Amino acid sequence: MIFNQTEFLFVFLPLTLAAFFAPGLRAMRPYTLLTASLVFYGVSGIEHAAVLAIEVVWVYALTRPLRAAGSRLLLTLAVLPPALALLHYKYLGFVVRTLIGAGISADETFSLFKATLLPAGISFFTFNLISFAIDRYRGEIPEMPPFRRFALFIMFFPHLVAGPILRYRDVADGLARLKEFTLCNGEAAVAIGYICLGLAAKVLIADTLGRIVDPMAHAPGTLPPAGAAYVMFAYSFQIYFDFYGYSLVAIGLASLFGIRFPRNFARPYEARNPRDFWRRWHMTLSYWIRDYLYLPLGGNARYVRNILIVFALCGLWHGAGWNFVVWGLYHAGLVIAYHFGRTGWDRLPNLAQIAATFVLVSLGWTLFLFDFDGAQALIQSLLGLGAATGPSPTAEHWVLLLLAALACFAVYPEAMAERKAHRAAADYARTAAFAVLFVATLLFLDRSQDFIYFRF
Amino acid sequence: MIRPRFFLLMVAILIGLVVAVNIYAAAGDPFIGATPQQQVVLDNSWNLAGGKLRHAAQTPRYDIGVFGNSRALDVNAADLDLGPRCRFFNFALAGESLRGSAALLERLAADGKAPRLAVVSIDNFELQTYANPMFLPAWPRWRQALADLVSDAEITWRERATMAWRVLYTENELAKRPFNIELLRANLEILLGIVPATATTNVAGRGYRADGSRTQPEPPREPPPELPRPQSRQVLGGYLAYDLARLAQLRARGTDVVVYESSIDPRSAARAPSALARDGRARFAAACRAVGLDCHAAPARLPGDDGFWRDSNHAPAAPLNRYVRGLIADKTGFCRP
Repeated sequence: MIFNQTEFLFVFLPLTLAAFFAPGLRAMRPYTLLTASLVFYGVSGIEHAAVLAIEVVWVYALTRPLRAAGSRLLLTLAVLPPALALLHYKYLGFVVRTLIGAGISADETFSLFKATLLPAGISFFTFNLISFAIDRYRGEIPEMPPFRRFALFIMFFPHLVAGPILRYRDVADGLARLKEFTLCNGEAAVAIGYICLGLAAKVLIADTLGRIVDPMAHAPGTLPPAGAAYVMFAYSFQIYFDFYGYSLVAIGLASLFGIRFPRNFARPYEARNPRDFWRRWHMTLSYWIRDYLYLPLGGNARYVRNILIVFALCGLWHGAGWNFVVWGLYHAGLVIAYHFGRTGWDRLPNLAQIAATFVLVSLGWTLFLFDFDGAQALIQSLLGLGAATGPSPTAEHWVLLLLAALACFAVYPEAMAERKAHRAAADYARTAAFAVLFVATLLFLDRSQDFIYFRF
Repeated sequence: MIRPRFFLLMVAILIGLVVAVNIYAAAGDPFIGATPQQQVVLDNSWNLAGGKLRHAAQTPRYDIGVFGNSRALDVNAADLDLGPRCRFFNFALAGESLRGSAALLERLAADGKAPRLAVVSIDNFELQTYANPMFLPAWPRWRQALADLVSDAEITWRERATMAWRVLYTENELAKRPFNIELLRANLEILLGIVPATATTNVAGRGYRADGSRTQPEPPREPPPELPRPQSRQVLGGYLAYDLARLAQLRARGTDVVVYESSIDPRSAARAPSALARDGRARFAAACRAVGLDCHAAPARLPGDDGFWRDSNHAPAAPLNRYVRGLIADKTGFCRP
């Protein structure tokens, strides 16, 4: 199930809210949310829900003993099965293909890979499980939570399939106070605002751009330079609004149940340099990598080596393919180049820094959209070396791109959702505007695509 | 800050408006003014369903009516060669199933509008399609669903549970239907008078004739890809017998019924039938015999069929009409002077 489905919005969510806030079921709230989360996840495949449930039980059992704090053995035993499951589902085909050599499909060679579907969000919940196990090992979770609370930390449906990636301490208070939680008007207002804006970002902006980009991206080598530039920038906005929209909805949904999720985006396309970009884009992943990978590797002490390692792994986390690894290394190169050329870069006007960062990041996204050949073809088209027989963007396409840019740089969604008016009339007008936005989004829901980050 | 209760109220009002626009924009009878030479242009099947129901309500009882889905939409008065004394209307609705045809016929019968002869198309059993009624208005649809579920017919609990699930599925699909920006825009244009409610055209092409049938361009001159084998059982034997019994009961209200299984393309039909299709056909024949209904399994090849179909399960108009003409030849005496 996904957020941009009418079944989710009009059946699953109302039923879950009704059960959660039912007066006689207050004590059952953790179980209500656990059941709802299992249904949410299980709808797409019982096998995958079983894998998730087994991993949750396993990690809990191995991290529960008091001696788990400081025990490398228990830590290793706890994280090994989730890591192996991730390897099996996501990376085994890639590893075997790489070992055997290009041109041979592992799917064709080994029956093991046939009919193996990637469980939705496996990269996300595996990182949540690992973070819990490591925090427990480090003694940062001195008191083991009850199983229902731990299970909910991992399986809570708003973040289960595409984040934000949580650390237990982020949500421990909210999970502990589920039974006492009362949804006040202010919290409901902000939650509704986040959900409306997140859905609109996904359905109205990202999906609209996607419908333009998809046919143009079929033959990137045939695009004229303007078409190639359009594909690059439109996809850049598409992936941003897709994932940002998901994160907004997730934050809004969680707050309806009294759980506060951390922010996942801080206007990343206004970043002034590549390093700044990673402090603003998918922030919960950046923090995870920093805390559990970069710092244990030695942090800044071996800067270049560690940056290369963590970004390569970051790329690999996004997808099992060399294009993702190269995308990670590309960003590592940008961050390292900035590190050594910072003095010159920082002297540029702010606008030039932002524009340069945006262009470099957008260029990198081509490795998300295409394989190596496709990315190379797009860049050739961009430089005017392509066949230039493909479609050019129309004036309407450019207007839509401009609107997406305006929404990205000139609209502040979180502030819109949280803003209080001085007059009641203004509040009612804003509420009506949000209702119109929501219903407008519903009218486009039938053509909405899966969230891009689901495949990670 | 957003006012949550006011937000929910506004959303409910706006959704109500969207639904109302879609209902009222399609409130007319698109077939009433069309001449036999004209074609009615209907852009979506939702409007088509409402239009056919309203047309039936506003016209005298027809002599012959065809019921089914897109596989029966090409059956038309001219190709059936019924003659001027015979009033014919094609009530088929794209996407409808035997269950929907039975419900529609019962509804027409209740209003005294069921035709004297109803020709009902049931999907070929190789397709294994057996959905619930979709195009009846909400209340009759829900009443029918409840009646189907609690019926004392010989239906297993497993089949009842499957049907209940399908009712939920169908209702979910129907609830989503109004939320489509193109549909809303088209209907708003109708309501605002920007375009006429039903456009008619004299140009041959894709559209609907005044007799409710559909016109289509000629299929390409090549055989279609073969029909894939059915993967799972969808036809519920208990409900199949129950629906056929409902059709048989219409005789008491003055409606004779002929049921025929829709054809598949000759290449696909030449293969040995799948186990699911064999079983479905056997149940179909047994149920028809039990209630004395005139039923016909799909022939291996339609009369005059050259094998050039648009796809493997929608028969071209000419052979289909020839086949139906043969089926009803001895039942249309009332049309002759």
